[in-house]
Amino acid sequence: MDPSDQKALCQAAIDAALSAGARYAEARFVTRERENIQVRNGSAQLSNHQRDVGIGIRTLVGNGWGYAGTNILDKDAIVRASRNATQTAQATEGAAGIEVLIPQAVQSEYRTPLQIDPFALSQGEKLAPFTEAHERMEKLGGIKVNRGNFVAHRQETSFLASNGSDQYQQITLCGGGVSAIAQANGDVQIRSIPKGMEGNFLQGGFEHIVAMNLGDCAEQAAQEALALTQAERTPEGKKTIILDGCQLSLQIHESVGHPTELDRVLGEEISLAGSSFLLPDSRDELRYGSDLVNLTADSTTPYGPGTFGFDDEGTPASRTPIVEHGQLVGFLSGRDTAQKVGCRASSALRAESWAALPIVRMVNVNLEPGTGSMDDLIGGVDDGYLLAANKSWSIDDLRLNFQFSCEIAYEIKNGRRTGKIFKNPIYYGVTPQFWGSCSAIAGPEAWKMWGWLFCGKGDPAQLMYVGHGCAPSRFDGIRVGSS
Amino acid sequence: MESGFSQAWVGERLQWVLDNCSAGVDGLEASFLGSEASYMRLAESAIIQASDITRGRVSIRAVIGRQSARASTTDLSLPGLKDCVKRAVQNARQTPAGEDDIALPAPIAVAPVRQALDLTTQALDSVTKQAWLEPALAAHRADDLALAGRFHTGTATWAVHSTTGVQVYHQGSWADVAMSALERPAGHHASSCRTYFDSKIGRDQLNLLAEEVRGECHSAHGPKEVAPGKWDVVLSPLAVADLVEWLGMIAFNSQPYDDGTSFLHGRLGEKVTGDAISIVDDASVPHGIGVPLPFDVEGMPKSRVDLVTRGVAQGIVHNSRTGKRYGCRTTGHAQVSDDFPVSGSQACHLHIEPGEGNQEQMIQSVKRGLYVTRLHYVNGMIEPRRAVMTGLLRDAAFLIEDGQLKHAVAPMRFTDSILEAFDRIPGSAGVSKQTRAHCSFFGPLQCTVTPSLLIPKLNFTSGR
Repeated sequence: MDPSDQKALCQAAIDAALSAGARYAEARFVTRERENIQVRNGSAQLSNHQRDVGIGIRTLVGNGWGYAGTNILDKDAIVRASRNATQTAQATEGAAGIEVLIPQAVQSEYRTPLQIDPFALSQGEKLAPFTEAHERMEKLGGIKVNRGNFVAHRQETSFLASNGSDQYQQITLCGGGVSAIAQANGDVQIRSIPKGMEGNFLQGGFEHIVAMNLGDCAEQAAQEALALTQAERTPEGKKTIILDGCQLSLQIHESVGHPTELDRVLGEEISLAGSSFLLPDSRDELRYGSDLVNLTADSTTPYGPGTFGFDDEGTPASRTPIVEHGQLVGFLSGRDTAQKVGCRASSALRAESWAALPIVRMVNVNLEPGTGSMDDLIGGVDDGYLLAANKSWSIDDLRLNFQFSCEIAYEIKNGRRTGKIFKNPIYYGVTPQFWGSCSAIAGPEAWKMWGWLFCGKGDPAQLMYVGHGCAPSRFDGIRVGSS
Repeated sequence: MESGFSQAWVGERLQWVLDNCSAGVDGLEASFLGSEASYMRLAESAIIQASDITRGRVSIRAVIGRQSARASTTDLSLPGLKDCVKRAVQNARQTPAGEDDIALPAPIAVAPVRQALDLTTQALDSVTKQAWLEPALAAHRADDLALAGRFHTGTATWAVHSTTGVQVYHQGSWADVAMSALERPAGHHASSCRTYFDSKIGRDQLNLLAEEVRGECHSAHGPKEVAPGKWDVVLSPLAVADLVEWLGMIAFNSQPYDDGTSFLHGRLGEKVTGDAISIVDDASVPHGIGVPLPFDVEGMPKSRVDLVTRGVAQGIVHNSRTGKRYGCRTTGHAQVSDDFPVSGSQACHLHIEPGEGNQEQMIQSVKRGLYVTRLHYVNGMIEPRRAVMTGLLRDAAFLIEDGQLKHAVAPMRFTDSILEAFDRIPGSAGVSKQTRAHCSFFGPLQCTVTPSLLIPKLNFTSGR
């Protein structure tokens, strides 16, 4: 369907909502394409291409929002959906607690800058780096299973609203990674590079896969997976730890991103994953971390999966400080939640697709760089570990007590890596104390963007892609152990 | 509201795909998943979100020799379907051939499932739901409690046609409800939660859940800290559900088994946990609770599969491809999640078989321990070969002393091998006869059915 037809359907939806009694309405026509190839020991175990097309209509009746979505794209079905949205709005009218403001109209367009369009490549071209990775692992020998994961994602949104807003954006993400599974002595160990789980995903094209150099990643993964099957369990104790960027990005995600979502702070997200230790009046009052810690919600960061032209209520991308010099100064928010606590919206109302109503989500929540290199961080450790690649993650419903396990711990003694590794490392903490123990953050040269594809939130659950830029960082006096 | 995805409407589209797009392939499978849902979400004793979503998706699997690929679309126009098939076929041609025999399975008769479609539940809209919820919202407001949760209902339509002659259709209703009562600020003090998942719901069931959480939230007032360490615990069915869902992901699906990370790998026929534990996957939901499903995405009937019987490892679930790989037939467990695409089979209706106990007697049997109503953020990826999991107490958890509930306790984190924990269950009296059904995080096509469990010495590793 061409953009003018999409806009015509959006306009029909808006007109129907206004006729049914809405005082404001937005329509999003969303086309989402995702390709996933999973390779196991050199052969494709899964080749899956999804195309999801539909329209979502959000309507305001009094101060209550309603929502409906459909992929039956004829005018009658869309008018019916619009009326349903307007009816459902009546159910939420009592919950607003504010006079919902109608935003200023915006006209805008955004497209991801990309060098190699992943959707224009053949399967063979997409698989070539994974084939090389497989071959290099095979050559090393000893690995039971090697895996590769490729994902390309494109989301195209036409957004129209009854205030005259007319916006368009096309976002493209691409990424993946490789992992090696080794088995010996009754033990099974995995190493994933560049990142645990699905790999790393960035905004842009296939150039990100090329830049990963998956062949080298595969060799390192295989060697370390094999070595881990011979390694000892990580000893218990309070240690200085350095989190590599791939693990630190998830630490930021769970212990900064989620607790600073304003809907959680206001108790509106209880039914799935809980609330937050933060309260609305924690802003400018609560000490979140050490003076070194500066965190920013930024939907404009280059390559960030959470970068866009506008969020899913049409608010243009922005940059919002969350923590400055260790002090909590802001939240992730949409227009309504921001209005409720009297702050500026951080353009963070996002929806998985047309079939989901927009809720407060992370964009790119970044840890601003400090100074120095990884070697400088290591030089400051008497007795500790460098931890890399997430294996498990868990945090309580107020986002305080967390426990992460990683794939590997590299021992550090007297300011140097000893060459010894430990398996199954786990570290524990409580959010503000943990960030308060941050004693060093590496500089801009070590700062890198990490993408996560499957951030689950909402009820029904929505899965969103978000980004966390960070440089490896050091934390003192952290409880470490093993399963 | 009658479903728009009738057998005739769906069948026409799937058959059109097979009739017009199957040239040049060895096999083509077209499946349809339709969802017509009314979602409603509560917080602070008010309805905060309401939405109606209609979504129909056609998924195509093309097989050419030992090459295959899948493509799906929600563009249900004929050109949209044609493009989808073209994509699947093109990707299949370009995908390197594997070693498995991936020929599409021939049809097998599918038995109908019990009472899958409840017309009252199917017809629930936001106006009726609001009316049903009003007494519960008012009661919680009167008690100065925040009522939160969800009241989601809908109709799921599932159909498969293939060039081997498979032609099946199923439609069922579902209701997924969670109610949480919370002292304010919500999440910071006492709370209580109950859930409900079935193919039907009435106003009485909704009110019962709301009354249970309101009462329990008051009982949980003023939680006190207790020291981490080894605690005898009575886990409610809801608390057990999270553990079982993780067992499915780390052990009973084919991918972890293939990779050797499943605790069943290399141990079939061996004792992996205690005698009291039998785990099956059974989509007919034989205890009459939960939402049944008659066939999988290949249109194969879903069989009951014994996974662990009295502590002994029996096997995993299979689709046609993994079944052939392991020399057995499909068990009807091919499943494709568009959100989390995985290769291989998936256990989607896990049950822990009921025992002889009951939850009250379990509590009475505990000298000093904890009664846990719900767990939070369980993760089973720490050491899957031992099923080491971590998670936290959430909502009401109570100290038990001399068989009596004393007071609520503050959240703590456990980290333990669940196989070893299940091995400590004191026989069938440690597994309740009564079970509850729970909707999966992955949606209403998957569920777990669980009893209460009495587990001695569960290892709690930290407090909040």
